[in-house]
Amino acid sequence: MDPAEIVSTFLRILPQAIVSGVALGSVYALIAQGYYVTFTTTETVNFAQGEFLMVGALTSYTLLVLSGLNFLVALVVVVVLMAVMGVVVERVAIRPLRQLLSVGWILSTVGVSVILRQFAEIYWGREQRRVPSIFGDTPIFIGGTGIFPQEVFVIVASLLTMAALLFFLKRSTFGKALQAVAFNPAAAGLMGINVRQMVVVAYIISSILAGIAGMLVAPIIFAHAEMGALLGLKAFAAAIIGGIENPIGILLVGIGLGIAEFVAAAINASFRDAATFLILILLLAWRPQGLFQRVTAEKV
Amino acid sequence: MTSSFWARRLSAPIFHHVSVAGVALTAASLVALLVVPLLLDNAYYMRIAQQIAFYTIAAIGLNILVGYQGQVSLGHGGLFAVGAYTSALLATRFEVPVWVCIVVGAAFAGLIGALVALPTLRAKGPYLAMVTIAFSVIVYVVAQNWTDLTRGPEGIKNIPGISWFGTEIRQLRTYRPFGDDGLTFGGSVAYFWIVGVAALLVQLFAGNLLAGRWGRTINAVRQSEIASETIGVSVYRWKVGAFALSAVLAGLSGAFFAHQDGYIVSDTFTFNKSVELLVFVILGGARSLFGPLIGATVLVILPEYLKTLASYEWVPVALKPIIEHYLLFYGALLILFLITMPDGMAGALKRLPGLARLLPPVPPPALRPVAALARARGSNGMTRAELVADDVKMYFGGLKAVDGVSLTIDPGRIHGLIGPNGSGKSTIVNCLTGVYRPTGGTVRLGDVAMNALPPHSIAALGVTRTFQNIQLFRDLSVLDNVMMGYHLRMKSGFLGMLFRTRATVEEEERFRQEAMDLLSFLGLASLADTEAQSLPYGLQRLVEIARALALDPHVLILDEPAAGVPAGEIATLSDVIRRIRDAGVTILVIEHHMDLVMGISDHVTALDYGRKIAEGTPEEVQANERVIVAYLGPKDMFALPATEPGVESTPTSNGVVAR
Repeated sequence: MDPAEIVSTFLRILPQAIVSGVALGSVYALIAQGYYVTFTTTETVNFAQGEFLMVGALTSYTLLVLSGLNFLVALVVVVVLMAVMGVVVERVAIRPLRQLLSVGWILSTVGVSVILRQFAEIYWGREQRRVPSIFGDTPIFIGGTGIFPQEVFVIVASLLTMAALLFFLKRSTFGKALQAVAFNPAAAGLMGINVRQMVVVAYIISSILAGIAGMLVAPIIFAHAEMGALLGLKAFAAAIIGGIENPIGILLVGIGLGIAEFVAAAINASFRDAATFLILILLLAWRPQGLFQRVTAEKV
Repeated sequence: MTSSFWARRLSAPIFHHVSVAGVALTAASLVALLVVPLLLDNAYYMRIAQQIAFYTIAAIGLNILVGYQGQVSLGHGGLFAVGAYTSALLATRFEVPVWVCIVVGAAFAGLIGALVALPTLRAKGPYLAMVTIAFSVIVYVVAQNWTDLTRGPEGIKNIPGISWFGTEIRQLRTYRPFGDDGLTFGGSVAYFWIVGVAALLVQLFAGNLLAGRWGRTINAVRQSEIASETIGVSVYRWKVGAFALSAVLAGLSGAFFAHQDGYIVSDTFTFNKSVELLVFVILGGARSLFGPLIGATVLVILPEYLKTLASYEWVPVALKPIIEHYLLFYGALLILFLITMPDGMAGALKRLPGLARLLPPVPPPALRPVAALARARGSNGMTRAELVADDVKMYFGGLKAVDGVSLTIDPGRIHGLIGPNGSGKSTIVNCLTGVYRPTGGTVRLGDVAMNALPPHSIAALGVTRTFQNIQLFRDLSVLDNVMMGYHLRMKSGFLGMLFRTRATVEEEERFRQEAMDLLSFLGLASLADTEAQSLPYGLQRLVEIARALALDPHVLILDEPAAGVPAGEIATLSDVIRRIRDAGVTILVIEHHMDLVMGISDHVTALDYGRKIAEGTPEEVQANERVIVAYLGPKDMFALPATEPGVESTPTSNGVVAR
């Protein structure tokens, strides 16, 4: 293939890759904001975040498809379920293990993900479940580029959710207390902030984000027990590249990775899942603290 | 037999200076490895035993990395896959002898590990964890999709087994040398012997490495990278080395796996494999010599047992479909184990009474009377070079922490550096020792420019330091902390340590004795076996000085040695610093404690706002108008009279002289 042909192929696939990439990428960003919230407060993340998403997606299948419930009712149920799961995972897998070797929480949350995947296989089976979009399945064509209404909805809904989250974190007293805990837990405790409660809240927020992401993404990809693993890891990659303490960086990188993934898929479908991680290794070799994180000199 | 018999130390290759108990344990393990499989006439059990053996190999390597060196890797499943595929492909495509395939597989995994580690080890914590996860996923995607090479999910079939005296091992017929009811020998036993002996050797070699300088160094790097650097350890090289070594063992393990059944398939090497290996280490007991073995044993058997549960009659029928998903229990047990046994199963076992006596620790060396600090290089033969900072600038963004300071620290003297908080003293020290690279100006020792050198190279030139916020290797004993100071002077190589050669062990003993001498010079000998972090603050500072002295430095920089030292012990500290100077070491001391610094210094420099404001004898500096203003503010501000030399004064914590 001569270079001109490569360029023309690239330009031909780019619009579609951007449309699909932004949709999937905003889901990565949404999941990754959950990592951001828990990491800043506790320096831990929930490695079962992808499985939380999967439970959210499959629950929405049960509620929307099997029970025929209204979308908003389903959303409320998923949010409540996720909040409960967030409390449980913090209590069982994070709180007892935060001090252990710095890897205890990685393994315990991986343990949670194993349990959830097995549970999902028992309860929902191994089949891929189709969750129809409430906006129908007819793509809108703009030029040669097709976009599903659900994709528009995913982009809008996840951006709104993230905006609401950031507004909550930066503006509300509660969010400020959360930030104080992130900055210095001991001092925050002395100021009368209930640090433990804040950690629980961080996990609740993180879980709800994963659940919402699951509801949004289910109509785009099929819902099944194994869907979460790779989504969770790719979102973690987005969080790391963006700088795990930088929500805007996470948003940009999440969307960027979504686009990169579809570009890679257009070139070679089997390369798709490796693209994200290859980019991550190259970027971290260049900037070990992520793209948007400032370098700080270690004080001795 | 008395306990002294078991504690006697032997002199034999590999077992040099190992106690009788240690050798007996190894011999017993070897016998058990060889005999027990003959008694079990069961290929299924043998297969499980083989798995335990090769997973132990990978887990030992990962324990070195995660437990001792302190870096999390969730990518060793990928390295395991590299070893497996390399060995399998060499054997099937190029018909290379299987023994060679296994060795090459391990070596290639080590190479890949080093290639991954080289550019990415600067990343830390979750960033490094993510790099390793990424590697693991990439290996899986490649294995899955590069079907021309790996055959992907279809798998590579008919991978030859190891040849057992000319016969392919899986073709060995079952052989009963003592009649039909007697011992059984067959291919699965033979393969277990091979993998089991390999695991035993790896265990032995890992024990050798971890017991000596190698293990001490990776432990030290885990606990304080900056302190390791300033005593001459190239932290980056050691981290890459530890990563590569663990990668070799992961690859070796993978290669043994590939030749076990003669069939590998890409689905085996998902991210879960990496998690599994890490679980062996953490649940077995990270930073414990036998943790990986215990972890691999329990966690290979446990799922196999859970799988068989469904066949028992007492299990209710309703539960059987759940048992098919035995991983559910696995996940739950994982969390339960983590919570109830924070230092793993090995840690839980260690608390059993009597077990500690089985492997007695090496006793500390004898005390010898020490009058003065013995110096290896001596004051005559060494270069009597001055340490010079010439117009050094250090800017952090817009902040000019040090703005053009020139200092000359003459050999054989005590040079005091004073100044109010934030005046740039510690920044100067960081520039002199390579912790910071100065924005401008030059730093040199005699004629040797040190500007661009990393701290460990500056340490090699003979300039070392202590730290304002103490940087001891907290989990190591006082003696081991001092031993770390000999890092640059200990010459035994990796192979020497691996095989526990006589030279290596003797060198270790020699330096232990020297460390003991150093400790008695500083009055710390009785604390040799104490864990550094359990000492009071003042003694920790002395241990830091002892560690720095072990380097036999030309220049020793003490960053606030009196901070946190009780008032009653200041005199002792002054005396120690003088005795070090008398042994020929040049000293730069940064201090707020005016009595101390004015009492011992031959020469004093005062800084304020990143600039030099005064220099001279202690008396001159004390009388200097600008110094008084810097500490107390302008005279007319509170109409305070200036301090006169010789007036009794009490320094407060921030250096202000109160009267």
